Amino acid sequence: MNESNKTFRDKLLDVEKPNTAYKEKYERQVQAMVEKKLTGLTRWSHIGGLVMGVFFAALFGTMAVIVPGEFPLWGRSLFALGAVFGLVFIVFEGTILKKGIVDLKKDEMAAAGLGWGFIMIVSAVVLVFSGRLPDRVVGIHMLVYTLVFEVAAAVGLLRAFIQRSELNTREKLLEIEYTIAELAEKIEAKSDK
Amino acid sequence: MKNKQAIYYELLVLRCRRGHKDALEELVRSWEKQLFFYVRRLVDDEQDAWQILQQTWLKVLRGIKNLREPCKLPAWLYGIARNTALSHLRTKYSQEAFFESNADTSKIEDYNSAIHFDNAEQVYYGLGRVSLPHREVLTLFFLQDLSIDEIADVLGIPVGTVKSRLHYAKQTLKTVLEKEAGNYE
Repeated sequence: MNESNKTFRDKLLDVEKPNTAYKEKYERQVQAMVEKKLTGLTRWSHIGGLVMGVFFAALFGTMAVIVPGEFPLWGRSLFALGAVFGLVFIVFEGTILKKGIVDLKKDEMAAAGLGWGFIMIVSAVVLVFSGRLPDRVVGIHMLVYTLVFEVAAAVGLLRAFIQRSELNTREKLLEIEYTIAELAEKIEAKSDK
Repeated sequence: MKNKQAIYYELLVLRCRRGHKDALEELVRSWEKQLFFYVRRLVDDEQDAWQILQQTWLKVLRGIKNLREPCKLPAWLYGIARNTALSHLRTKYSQEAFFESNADTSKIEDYNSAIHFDNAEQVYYGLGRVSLPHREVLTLFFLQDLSIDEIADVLGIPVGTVKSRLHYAKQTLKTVLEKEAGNYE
């Protein structure tokens, strides 16, 4: 900005000459805040996620291999899918731990999606087993519990999805409003000339 | 129709709530200069001022989800910066009445009186030589981010008191600057 075009406010702000070393230290700290760097607790929660991914990948992978030959193919495929999900979780959590930063927008949505997918697979596996149990009453109990669990997970995901859609719409509307306001300002400026 | 600035604030706040890193960075970038200037006028030590500003951003990032009226973003930011500075001063000096001023209670409506300042460097110097309540209200006035009503909100005092305080603060600043000019002549 040309010095003569500066407002009194801008000139006053420019008089302040901050200490470069202090400012750099502050900038580093603020950048860490904005990027949501992994701290003690969050790091451990991601390590927990990684361990869970390893556990489920190993469990479902083993199940897919060791189930007897007469076990239905779709059941075996379900185990294999569970193992794949476990591997995806390992990659996801491993990447976050390696980067040391959580992207609030992308990573948290991906984590929610993966978590939900995982719940669905585990629930489906439980459903398969409940149908094959010799005791029908226990099998039905398992079925009911799993269905409740699945419905709760689906409602949660649906709510998150609706909220996200609402925010998307609100953001788009605000962008349009802002463009209109900008145009109105330009038209007003032209008509004043 | 809402004005451009209000829509911009709403959009920025919405994007920050959604965790857009760019929006968070933009929020910090567009407000840190004036907030630092304000905080620096409240605390003597520059290192403390940077620390207060960093704590302010921490509170902002945590609290932005609860900001109900995004059009009040400027007053909200200054309010957080002020409260953070105030708690810092309380911790440091174990005193409470930093910003209380009983001298400016008479009703003055003409806060925008004939006293005008055009030399930024002189005003900057003068701000360091007036009392803390006067310095604070003058700083908020000169930064022009807040209306008188919003300044009253931030300071937690009635609008009438802001106007009278501003009136006396301007007079005091003028006296300080005149004295200083006299010393050089």
